[in-house]
Amino acid sequence: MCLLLPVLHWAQAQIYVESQFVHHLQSVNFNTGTQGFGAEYRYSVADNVNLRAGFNILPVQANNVFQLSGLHSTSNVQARFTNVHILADYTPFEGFSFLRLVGGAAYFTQAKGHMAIQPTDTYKYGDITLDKEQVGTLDMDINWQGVAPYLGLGLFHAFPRRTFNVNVDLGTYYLTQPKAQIVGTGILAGNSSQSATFQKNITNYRWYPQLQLNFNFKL
Amino acid sequence: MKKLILINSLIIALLAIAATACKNPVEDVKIVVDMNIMKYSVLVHISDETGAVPQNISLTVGGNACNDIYEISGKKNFTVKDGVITLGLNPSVTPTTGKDVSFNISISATGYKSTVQSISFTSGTMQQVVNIIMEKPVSATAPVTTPVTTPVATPVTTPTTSPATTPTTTTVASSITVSLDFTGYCANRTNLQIRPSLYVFYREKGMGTAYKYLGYIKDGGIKTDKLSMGKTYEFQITYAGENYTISQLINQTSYTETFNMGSSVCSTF
Repeated sequence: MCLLLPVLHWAQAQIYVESQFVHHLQSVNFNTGTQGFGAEYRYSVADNVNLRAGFNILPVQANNVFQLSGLHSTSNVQARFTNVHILADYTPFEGFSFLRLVGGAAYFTQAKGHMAIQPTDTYKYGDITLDKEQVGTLDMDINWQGVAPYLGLGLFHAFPRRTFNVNVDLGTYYLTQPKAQIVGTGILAGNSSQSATFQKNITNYRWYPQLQLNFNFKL
Repeated sequence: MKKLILINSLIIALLAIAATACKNPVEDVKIVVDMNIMKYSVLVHISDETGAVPQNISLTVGGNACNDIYEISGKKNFTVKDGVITLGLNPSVTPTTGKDVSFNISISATGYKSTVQSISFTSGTMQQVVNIIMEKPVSATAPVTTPVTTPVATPVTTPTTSPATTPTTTTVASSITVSLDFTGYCANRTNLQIRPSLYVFYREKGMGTAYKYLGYIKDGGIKTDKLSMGKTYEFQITYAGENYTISQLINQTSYTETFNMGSSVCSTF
């Protein structure tokens, strides 16, 4: 929200100067969806164009979402996506004012996925029983940090007719090429050699779909 | 109605874009397991004065630390194959400065004097090679046991932490440094790869010569300058009483060799 304050002040000043000529609508929204939760400030620059700036945070953690074939294990998955973004909404058809084309970009200050895999079996090497430390763990990391363009649709009206409305964003970010690596410990230390295969598998993991509900409050 | 159709079409199109390329992120990712579990190991190489390998070698382990000594596959079966066996120290035991881990091996073979060799693992010396020369008895009567306190012949002990140097001298006309990566696989577990940490022998293919010690494969890799370009070599690894041999023509400086690790190790993981 601190990032939005200067924009808000600037917008208010513009309204004060130009209010005699153009009706500049403003709103703030709090949103939730596939990119977590966040907030935006929206400002109309023309009847069919408005701009918005905001941020989103997605902290996710899940256990045992997948298994590596051939390894009995527990897995823990963590993802953290944090972005600041600027988007432009354009209403192309006056008759379809509930539909907006949305484009823009975000800078993902954080865009990380982390998977930790801990073997669960008691492993024996010949007659020797290995303890957990000797068996080790596998850590798989993916990082998409960087700038990502956004394209999507805005459904329902951008600004409340009165004080409050709800609209929907449906679109996708196109993230930077992910960097991936596998790090192992114990007898799994050699798995860093699999980083290239892992990286190749996720090369096309760049679409970050957005389905977002916006709760808008008119200013 | 037209509005709804338009919205539905756009949503489907967007979802189709977003759903592309959802490949399993761990597809074809192998589980790589290190064989370097027993950090301290010793290669015991047994021959007679002529270099021949005695037949029917029997080896037993005794001494203070005998309970913590295993064959390199982690078993207590001390089978000597073609005069070679690798012994390892229980990974839960670590030698410290001034506190070695010592044990004895007793070796007997038909037609040779029995011998006892004392071996110690000292802190920081992870690998060593012990060559044992078996002696024939003076008379053709029953074998005589050499006392444990006098292991006179400890022909070569090569303590190294990197690929071990050979205990014998090898003359090579035009040697180069060759990097060999060994990857073990299990026929019944295609998703598993094993990085061997083992001692390897070599010889030039077709020459009928005895295998010579090449060095220690650490975490699947070894570099050596004992090979010559344009020659084909046989590389032999011995563990769990079995030999595993790979042939390779050397005409470049880097090779990746794969070999079946066999049931003794594959059944372990």
